[in-house]
Amino acid sequence: MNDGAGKFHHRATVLFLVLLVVLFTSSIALAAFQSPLTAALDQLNRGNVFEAIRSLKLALPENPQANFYLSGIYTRMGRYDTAYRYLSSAIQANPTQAAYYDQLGLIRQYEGCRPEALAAFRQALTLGMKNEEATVWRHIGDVHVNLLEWDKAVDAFRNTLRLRGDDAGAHLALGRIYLDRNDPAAALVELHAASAITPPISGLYAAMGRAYRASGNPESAIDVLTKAIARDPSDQESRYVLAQTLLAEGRAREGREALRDYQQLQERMTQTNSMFEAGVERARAGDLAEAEKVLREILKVAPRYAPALQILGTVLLNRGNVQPALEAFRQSLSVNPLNSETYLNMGAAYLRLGNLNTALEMTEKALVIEDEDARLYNQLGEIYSRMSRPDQSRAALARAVVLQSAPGYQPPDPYGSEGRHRDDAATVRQICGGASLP
Amino acid sequence: MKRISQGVCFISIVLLLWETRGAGAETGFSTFTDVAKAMGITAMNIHGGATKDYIVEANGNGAAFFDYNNDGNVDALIVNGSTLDHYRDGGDPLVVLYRNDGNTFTDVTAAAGLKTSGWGMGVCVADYDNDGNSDFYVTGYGPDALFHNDGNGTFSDVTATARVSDTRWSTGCAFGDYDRDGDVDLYVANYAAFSEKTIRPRGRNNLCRYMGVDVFCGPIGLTGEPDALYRNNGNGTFTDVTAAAGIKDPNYYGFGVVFNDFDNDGWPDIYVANDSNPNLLFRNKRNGTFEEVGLVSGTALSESGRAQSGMGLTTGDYDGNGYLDIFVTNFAGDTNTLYKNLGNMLFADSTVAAGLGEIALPYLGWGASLADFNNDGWLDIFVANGHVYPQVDSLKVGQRYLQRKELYRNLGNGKFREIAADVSADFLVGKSARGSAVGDYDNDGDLDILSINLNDRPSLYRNEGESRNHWIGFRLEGTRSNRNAIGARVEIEAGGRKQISEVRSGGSYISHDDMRIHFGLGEVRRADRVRVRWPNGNTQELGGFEADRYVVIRE
Repeated sequence: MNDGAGKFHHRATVLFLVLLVVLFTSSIALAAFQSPLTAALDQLNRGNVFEAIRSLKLALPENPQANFYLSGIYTRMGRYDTAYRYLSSAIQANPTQAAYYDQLGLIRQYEGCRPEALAAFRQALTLGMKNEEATVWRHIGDVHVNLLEWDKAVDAFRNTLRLRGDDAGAHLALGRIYLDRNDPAAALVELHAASAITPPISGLYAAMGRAYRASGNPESAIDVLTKAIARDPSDQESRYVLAQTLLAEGRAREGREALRDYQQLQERMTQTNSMFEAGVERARAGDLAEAEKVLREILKVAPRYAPALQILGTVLLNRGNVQPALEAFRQSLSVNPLNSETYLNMGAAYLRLGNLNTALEMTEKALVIEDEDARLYNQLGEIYSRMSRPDQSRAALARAVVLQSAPGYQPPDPYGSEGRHRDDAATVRQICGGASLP
Repeated sequence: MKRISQGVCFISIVLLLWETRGAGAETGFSTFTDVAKAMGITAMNIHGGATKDYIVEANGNGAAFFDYNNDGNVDALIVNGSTLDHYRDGGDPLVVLYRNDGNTFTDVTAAAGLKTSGWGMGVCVADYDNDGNSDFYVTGYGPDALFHNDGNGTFSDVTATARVSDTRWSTGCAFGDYDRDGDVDLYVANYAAFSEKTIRPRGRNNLCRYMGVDVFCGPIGLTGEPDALYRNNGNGTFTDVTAAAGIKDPNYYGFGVVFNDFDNDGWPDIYVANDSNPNLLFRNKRNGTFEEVGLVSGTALSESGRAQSGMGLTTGDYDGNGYLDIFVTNFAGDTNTLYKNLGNMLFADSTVAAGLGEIALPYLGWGASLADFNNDGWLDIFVANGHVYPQVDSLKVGQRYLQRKELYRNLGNGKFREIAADVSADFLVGKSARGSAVGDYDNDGDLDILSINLNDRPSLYRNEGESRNHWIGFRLEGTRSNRNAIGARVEIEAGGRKQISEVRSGGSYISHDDMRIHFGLGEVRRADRVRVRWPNGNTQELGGFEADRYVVIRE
């Protein structure tokens, strides 16, 4: 079910970051950049996110703007605590940079702090977003939708389109609002406008099908939904709406067939998810043989499901099957190259094989992505020790002790999808702030 | 000039009168007044603490309107929860029973021998042993209980002897004669496995947050409990036939449940509203077994294929096409869902088209009724609302913990208009409402509403009946079919229109409505033809009846 999901996420991350670069460069003259930062941005533009992270971190002391890009990358990775940490440093260095507040708004929105997100977006507008004002208005519209403030959302999306008429996201959002307001004619106008912009965005055709159906034009609904499924067989929303439309039109056989397809795919996803949970549970319980069996079953159905590959690698490593573990990790990285847990485990595997240089390389790669995980420094200390580099070993182990002694530290779950401790609640409290709770 | 002034004055008065009418009342609709306190229904609901640290403290209770003493007045039964502290010592009284004395209600809980304690949730009513007295089943967090009506104003707890003791966390229940053998069977919706020993309280689990603030954990993350179907053996005992009857509940978090004949084949089907999971529709295969057809019927998910958070549900033929439709209440930020029955066990999500979409988004719905509150012949919709998280008040997100009621007037053209503000100031008072039951407690021909408020006193909304429309009601008594005639379908023809309704046990949010069938007739003063299809499949044709009265029909 998640075949290619990680790759899609990776591609989406790259696209987002390219946009981020464009957005930022429109606000700050490129000429002001130092060369390490320029190199990092070049990596981003080429889609090499891992190298971009490495370069950005190397560029950091002299280039505080690098914090902003790192924040953007970690936001896309769903690591809002880390993203916020970098963004705070960026804002501290330059508190009047509008793009930083747009980024802050996004982080707060993803964390569920909607009023705070709105405040940040408004601050961005106040400071002046120039060519990217339209994007901020779309972000504002999204928050208003989440807050159920539909009139305000409509105003915000309209502002987006006033500034940038070809914003497909704003057209789709407006179309959905009109659809939910039982105004399918207005919805269709917006949805057609969105469909004229390439590439097509997720959810567009399902909404269009619903709009056609609601406007009393089921044949067009069936046509657009059928084409949507042909274009993307994983478009379950379109498949469900198609089934409902066919059934309502009395085309019971076709409708039931579409529903059967929908159901089979849903069951496959549910089964894969529950098998994955079961596999993880078995691994946590120490029943590694059963865990391996379950995870291999999942991979028969979804061979490029990165979390299953990652956990399978860990299980295999813990069962002493180092080479098969490394193969699983390699496959996992080919889908999701930004998982520090995978690099950590590959480092451990090479360490076990006595290949100290590669073990060091992999552990350092993990540290590029995650530099606050005590386990990485412990592993690094071990590698240095075996490489007879005692000073570096001591320094790494000392860093591990510092991290482990931090208040609230919890050892990461080795069978979590990332195996990384995140104190989200504390982050959210810090970000959302203010409100006294009962 | 003077003439002009007089004209302006006249127009002003007309406009003033028009404005006054517009602000205070919906034309042709009744108003509602909360008379709970005046009528003596004052039991304080106990259901967890104020901060709702665990999910078990937040789901609240149901209520029932039923005539336990056969005096012609529907009495009120209110289910009570408990607190975690009390529950460790056995819990609180499961129910409070109010006898309807005509002009007031009297608490007769103790006199009726209803002393069982625990943590109650919902209720459903039926004369399960066909002795002429209505019994009731109470679901709970912990053991459920079946109370037998002894016919002398008292009840006996017969849970153990009847073999319906379910110690799982049960929520909704309904009686229905699925095998048409003349006695009612019992469906129990179960929710989730919960223990305060294993589930962390609010604030101790980073994953349990709502819009950034710590809230109780669940239901996602808890293990769901499967529902149960008990067949009535006809001798005062029941047998768990869940598996044998093909009731395959994939451990969904069950809430509301009803038996209704959705495909008009004369056999009761079962619909279950599930929290955070697809809803289930079990089609009766007429051989003692069921087939789950929720997804293929279009009643499992929303129009766009999303599982919603089903809480309560109600059924009724809102569009007059001769099939029972389904209305399900859902979580805040989502719409409630109206599934229009197209026939042939196919439904279409008609929520938005019916005008029930955007307007409901701020509310978290529980109790629900499709009922003709103004007797115009079209079923309106009542929804009892209240959030589950008290912490939502600390967010500036347009949602409140205490919420108003919704009342949607059926416009007779497939659409509804929300009119709560026009018909009752009391509907607008914020409450954390849960279960609700509809019934004509004052026998004046219009339907009143009993609503349970979490950690608060109940509301009894009296329908003031200003609509002036006519009505007719039927109390059905089975002889070969079950005594309450649960599952009987009544069809009337009046003024050239047909209407249908079914006698139902359970429904709304884990509650139970007055089992009398009620039809609004509008301006028509007579039901020209009445047809009853009894639960055993036999039909009975009756002649015309004058309006504005209750009629008893024996099988």
